[in-house]
Amino acid sequence: MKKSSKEKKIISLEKFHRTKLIGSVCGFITALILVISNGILETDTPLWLVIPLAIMIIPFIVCFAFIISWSAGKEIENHDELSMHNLNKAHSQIFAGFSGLISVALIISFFWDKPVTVNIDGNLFFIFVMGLYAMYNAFESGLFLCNEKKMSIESGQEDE
Amino acid sequence: MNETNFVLHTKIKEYRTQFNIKQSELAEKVGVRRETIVRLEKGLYNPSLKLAMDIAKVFGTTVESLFEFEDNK
Repeated sequence: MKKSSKEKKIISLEKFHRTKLIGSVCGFITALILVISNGILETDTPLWLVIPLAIMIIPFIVCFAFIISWSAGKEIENHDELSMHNLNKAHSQIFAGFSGLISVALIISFFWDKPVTVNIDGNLFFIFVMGLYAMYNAFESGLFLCNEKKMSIESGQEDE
Repeated sequence: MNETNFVLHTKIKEYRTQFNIKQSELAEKVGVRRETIVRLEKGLYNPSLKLAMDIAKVFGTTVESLFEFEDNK
């Protein structure tokens, strides 16, 4: 079989998760700006209002697109058992945080006696889900890096 | 969990020095990252049975002679 002339570059797990974290944060901020500006942006929105919003969103979209294109052609280092351990720990921490949030929401809803009206159209729902997904990815990579860093600090100077 | 009652002691570093093997070389031989070997040597991570056996195989020794669990009670 003919070997490919261009070998894929392997990126380390730390670099991959750091990149994923930055990309996810950019995605989350974009989604957040879009959610906040949802009621503002309509077909008849004046240009003076669209331009500042575009200026706010475009850098994050460019950053997100750059990260995706940068990591597209590269191979990621395989997870070994220690990194899997740290990743599982990160998932547990996310689950614990999520459970805490649900518990708080449950307690608030118990004492909430006013009616709640939420108007969510298709676009807003999409942006909301995108934001949640970006947030999950940001937490996953962030906590993974945090756990790895914590172990590095505990182990002190890494010798060869 | 009673996992915290035990302290892991390893002799990986001693064996590595004896066999003149670098951390990165050992990591490559057993299919893990160098960071994993560093943490194993410091006793910060309990390896799986497979990894312990793979490391022992590299040095031609047994798992018992490489790893020691000390009861911390």
